[in-house]
Amino acid sequence: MQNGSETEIPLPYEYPPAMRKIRDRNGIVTDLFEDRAPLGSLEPVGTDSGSLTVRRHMGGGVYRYIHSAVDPQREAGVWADCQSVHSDTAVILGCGLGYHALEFARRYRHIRQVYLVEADEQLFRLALDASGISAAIGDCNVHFLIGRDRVSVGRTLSDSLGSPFTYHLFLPATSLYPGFYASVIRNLDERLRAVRLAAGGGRSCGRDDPFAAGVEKLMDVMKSA
Amino acid sequence: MNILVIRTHRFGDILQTSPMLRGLREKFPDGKISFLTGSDMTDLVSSNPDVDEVFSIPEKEYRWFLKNRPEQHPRVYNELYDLLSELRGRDFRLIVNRQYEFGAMAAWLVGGVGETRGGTFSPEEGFVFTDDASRELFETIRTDRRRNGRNLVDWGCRIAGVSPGCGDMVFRVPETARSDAGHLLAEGGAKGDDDSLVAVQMGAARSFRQWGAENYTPVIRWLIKDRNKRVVLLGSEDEEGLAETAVRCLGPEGNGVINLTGATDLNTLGGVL
Repeated sequence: MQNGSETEIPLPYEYPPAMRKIRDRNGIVTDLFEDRAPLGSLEPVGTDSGSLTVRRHMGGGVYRYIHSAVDPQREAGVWADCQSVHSDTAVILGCGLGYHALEFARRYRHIRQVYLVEADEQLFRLALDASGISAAIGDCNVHFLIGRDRVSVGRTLSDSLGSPFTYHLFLPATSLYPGFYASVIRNLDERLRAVRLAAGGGRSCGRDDPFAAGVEKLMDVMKSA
Repeated sequence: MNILVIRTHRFGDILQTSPMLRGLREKFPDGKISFLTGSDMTDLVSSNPDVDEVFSIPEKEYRWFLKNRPEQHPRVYNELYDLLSELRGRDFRLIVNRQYEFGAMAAWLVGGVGETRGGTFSPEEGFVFTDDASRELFETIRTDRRRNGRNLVDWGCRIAGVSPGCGDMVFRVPETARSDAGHLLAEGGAKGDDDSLVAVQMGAARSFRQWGAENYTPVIRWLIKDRNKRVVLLGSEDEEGLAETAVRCLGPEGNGVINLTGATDLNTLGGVL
């Protein structure tokens, strides 16, 4: 946690049992949870709906809520409804407490593979306890990429994403680590372009000219104009 | 029947598609008219009652990224891919392209089983015109523009296959923009009911088409001295240099000029006009 001299707030929970499972399945999260690291600038807060939200202290008495302070689940549902999903693989950037990922999974049941990226280990630790996300740990189609190792996250995504996918930003969480997520997004864009060109997008626009290559041609036209 | 019209930039050119859009509405009363345009033209297009749906593309930004930021190319590629895929899924029966190369490529990619008028692309032949009106317009421009006997409105209607003179230009200006425009003019010393205002816009989309500030200056001077008018200079940020040159050339007579060049967005420009 890069919280500098900000107030350390003690973890109010028992160490989630799901940690053991996640350690067994995912290389990137291995070792992240060996220590019961303090929550740092994160503060879990109850909401009117009864769910938990979390806010991050930014210093100087200023804090930022990562989820709604009223009803995080409802907010997550609105977010999920706004997503454009047109493939069977999805990458969710920014897990927060997991509400968004869960609502996403409920709505888009055709999704076969989900990659969940969360830069903040402590936030993810809270998520395992605060929402139903820990239930997804046993699902081998849900992949957790936790922490801010850009190279490792980038390599894992590039190696794993072999067909067209969509990616979805949960901005309140991603905006806490803009440099990390910008790097991941660049990787994803490069990967998506590569798989689209390799697959031809599955759509043919001309006799020998697939849609994906046509978009590349359009870019050439725009560049030269 | 789904219809797509493509024109991404240039305020005047888009404004002059209004009669064509009205013509399409009259010809296909049950049709749904979609318009693909640039992000900065969205307000103009969406204010037109004959457009049912607007698709925006940050074309200027994309062109800049494509020329200057190679690391952004994958993002631009994916965004274009997603947009064109969505349009492709609409199954347009008629595409009217009012823009040459970009529009032709986009029309080809959006494709479908319908007809494309105004130019498209073919992997075998490159850029092609599939209707007589477009071919005629292209030949007129290529050979001798001075022989062009039609304006842009007439050409648009002919290309779309609708009657010329179908309707007026349409640009609905929101009340807030009218109010903003009123404030800008008032700051320049104009009154709300001032009927002596004359708007002058010296720029052109391409520099070789610009008449030049030195040529506009005597016209502005004549408007001020001989016609007793208040001149309002309008234009984009790119044209601020032209306005500064004109004001400098006018000397003391330039003091009464209200220079709003670079100070208006599209809606506020409409408010001023």
